[in-house]
Amino acid sequence: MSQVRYLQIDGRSTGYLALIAGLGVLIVAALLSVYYMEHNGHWVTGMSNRIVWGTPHVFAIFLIVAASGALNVASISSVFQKKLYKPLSRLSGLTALALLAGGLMILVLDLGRPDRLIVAMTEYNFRSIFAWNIILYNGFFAIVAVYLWMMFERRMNKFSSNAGIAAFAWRLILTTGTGSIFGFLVARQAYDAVIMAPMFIIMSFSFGLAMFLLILMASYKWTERDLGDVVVDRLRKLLGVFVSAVLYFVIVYHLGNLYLAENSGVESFMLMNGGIYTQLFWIGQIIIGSFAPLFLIYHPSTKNNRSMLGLASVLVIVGGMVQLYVLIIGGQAYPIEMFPGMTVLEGYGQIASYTPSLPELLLGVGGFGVALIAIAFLVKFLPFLPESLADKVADPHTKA
Amino acid sequence: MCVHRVDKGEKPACLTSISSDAIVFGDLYDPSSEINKKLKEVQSRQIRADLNLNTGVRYSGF
Repeated sequence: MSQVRYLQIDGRSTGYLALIAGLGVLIVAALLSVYYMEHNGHWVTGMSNRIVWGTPHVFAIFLIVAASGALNVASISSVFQKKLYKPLSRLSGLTALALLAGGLMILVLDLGRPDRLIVAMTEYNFRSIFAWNIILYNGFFAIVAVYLWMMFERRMNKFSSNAGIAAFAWRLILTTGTGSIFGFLVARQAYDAVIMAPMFIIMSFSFGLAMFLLILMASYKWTERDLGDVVVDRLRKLLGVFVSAVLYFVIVYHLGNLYLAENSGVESFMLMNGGIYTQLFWIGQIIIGSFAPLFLIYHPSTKNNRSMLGLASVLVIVGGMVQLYVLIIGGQAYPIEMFPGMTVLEGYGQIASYTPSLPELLLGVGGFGVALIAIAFLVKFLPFLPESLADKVADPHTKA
Repeated sequence: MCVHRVDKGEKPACLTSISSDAIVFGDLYDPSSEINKKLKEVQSRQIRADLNLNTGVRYSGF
């Protein structure tokens, strides 16, 4: 394995400028949507007092979960000492930070009363899992930033492995926190399950790697740098394992709920007669988001085709968003058992309806825009990307 | 519950728009507050009392 050289990208081509302009349009559209929603109030969105977390939250949670997962590639190198992943570590850390920034931007801009954020910070509620998550997100920014610095700064390189271990531990805690937001919501029958924490961790592995793979393949293709099959093939197999693992957790989660008689209502809602949520679950999450990518990743006719791997990654991302949509919005649409043992004659007994509105969607897409524009800018100004990831450079088993 | 008004020492909007005493608003942590006195007088319920959450809203009259 020869010495890896990192180099900024040129970033002057028409394609690069078009990319920045395109992402800029998405961000402006998101900001206009925010202005529209703030100006008129949240009633113009599809959200209501029943569905308080809507489409923006699906995007935000996806990005936050994917952020912690995108760091995995760096963790495999520094925690588990796999040399093949080392040249990818810088991009992995950058992707993690950028995705988290995009996700948090959505959350902050969706707050009906942004002024309350100051109160939430000054009057800290240590008993709230939402408040814990704020610490976890900010801590992640700080730890990953230090980790990146140690990777960049030659004289700090010797600490980068320890920083990597700290970042790895933090990211596991962070995703545990995100999953537990739902896991600890005891009053909602679709949530209330401790398995949410590990399920969110494995979801982060899968979503984060899919994002990372697309960003990696796009940056090498568009800059005409070499990206060897050894790296791509290793990541492909890893993605296959992660997608299967998510499927396993989804099955265990539903089996666990099905076994508990009290949850039979919410399970039949999700799996059989929940209308749009049932369709999204089976078609979006299971077929498009799990079976189709697994086929593309493992079938002999598609497994060595990079476009097919890119497609598989896109499907994992789409399936992941659908999974979060079903969980977050479907879980709220199903009525809460407000007064156990009593019959609700009118009011809150029905399934809540929700239709995503355009401004919500634009805000969510804008989160992706922010994440991707941050990556596009930073790879131009700092040496994140190895000059080459050709097999003879990247493969630790090749003799240079 | 109209947190932006309560923080300024005002009452929630629902309270100012009713003429009866159907809603009592106050500090549950303050033993001498009107809401606590009222809770000693009348029987009340919480939503999902089985979860033991000590919720901030109490209902009476059913």
